[in-house]
Amino acid sequence: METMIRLENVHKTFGSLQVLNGINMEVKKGEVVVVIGPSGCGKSTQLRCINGLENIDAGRIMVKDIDITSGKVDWQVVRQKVGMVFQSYNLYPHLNVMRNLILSPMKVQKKTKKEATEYAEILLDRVGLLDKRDAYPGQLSGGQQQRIAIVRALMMQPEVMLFDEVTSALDPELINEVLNVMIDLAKSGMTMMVVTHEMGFAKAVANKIVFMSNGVVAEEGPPEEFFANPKDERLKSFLSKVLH
Amino acid sequence: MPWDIVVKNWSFLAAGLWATIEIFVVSMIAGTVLGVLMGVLRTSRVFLIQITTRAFIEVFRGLPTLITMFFVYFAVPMLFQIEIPSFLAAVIGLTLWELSEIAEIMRGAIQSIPKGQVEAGRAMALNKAQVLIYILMPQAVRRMLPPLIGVYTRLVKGTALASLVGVNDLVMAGKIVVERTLEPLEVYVFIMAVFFIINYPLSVLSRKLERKLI
Repeated sequence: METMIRLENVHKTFGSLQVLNGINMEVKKGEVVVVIGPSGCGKSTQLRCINGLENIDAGRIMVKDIDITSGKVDWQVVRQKVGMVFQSYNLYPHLNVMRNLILSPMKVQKKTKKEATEYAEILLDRVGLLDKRDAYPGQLSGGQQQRIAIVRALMMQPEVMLFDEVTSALDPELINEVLNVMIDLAKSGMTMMVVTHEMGFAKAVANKIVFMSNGVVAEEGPPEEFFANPKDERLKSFLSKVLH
Repeated sequence: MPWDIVVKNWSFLAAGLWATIEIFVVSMIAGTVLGVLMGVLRTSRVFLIQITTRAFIEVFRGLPTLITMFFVYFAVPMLFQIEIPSFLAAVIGLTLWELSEIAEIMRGAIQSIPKGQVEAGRAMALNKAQVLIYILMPQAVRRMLPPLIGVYTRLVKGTALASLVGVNDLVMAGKIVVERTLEPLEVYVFIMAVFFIINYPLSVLSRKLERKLI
């Protein structure tokens, strides 16, 4: 299987705080990798490094065959391959749903408005929000906004999707509508890297679970083994807190 | 009261009013364009750009506009051996003040937009200019409209200073009419009414926008 993302000995500090302390990780094509760990362990930072929202201090990150840490990377190329969804949705509040969706396809990928709109309608229909095409983000619930944000990332036809705690800001009753979209996406064969606290999601669709602690990968493995038979002490203590 | 003074001197006062309006419109456009540009540069991450724009803004926001105007009208011609007509000196003086105010408003508006907006734009493969044009500016402009109109109303008032560098504006025309007729009451009431008529709709507009946009 082709490697989509590879992190090699990645280090990152914020001031005197060592956030990533030698991360090694690999995501293969079609895989769903779920990253878990206590807050402050660096899992979100790691995700943000993969599409260049943060720079790393040492190590190497490959997206397919592009070394994005080489210093002369064309981010517009990389970011079309790597879609990202944020915890706080970050839809553009001054644009309606359709304009949120077609902005980058038109400006970056030079699609015509007609092409972009048609594709947007297909994706909106898939997440059950076609009737919201003319709504503004402020008129939508958190769950709806997050589904739109997922669609917005998909509009670029990325090869990998990064999810940064995308259900953490949602009211409990809205979480499933977002997770369902993600599950459908995983089943469609999308390569995904998901930072989450949703263990149910991890069990349901992950090919691999990665446990991060203090800026390193403390343990990784397929979900069955990972939950049934954790070895790392920090992981055992973490699981005892999040699983009920 | 002999109100016919205004009527009798109408063409004279109207010429002054026209000059005042010209000064206002020219400075408004120049100051807005330059101020928006300066405000964007002010948010640059390049230190040299940051520090020069900041210095410029601090200087001209802090100076009394009249002093800037005097400097442009009296001192600059001596420095460079050129002649600066009074209309131009007035416009430059007002524009320097106004663009500094607008630059600060622009900077504040851009910086008040959540960081996630820039990140979303970048993650969606937009380049820096596209993030600025399609994501930051439209949101910033909405936020800055009410304070921007506030600057325009102060600019209208500031045009009165133009008479002090010899522009035949409304204030100057009024003064001359008063000296000729010795009837200050009617003339100044007329001038006050003119300024009120220009500025009142602006402040109404500002309040309307404030309600609509936020």
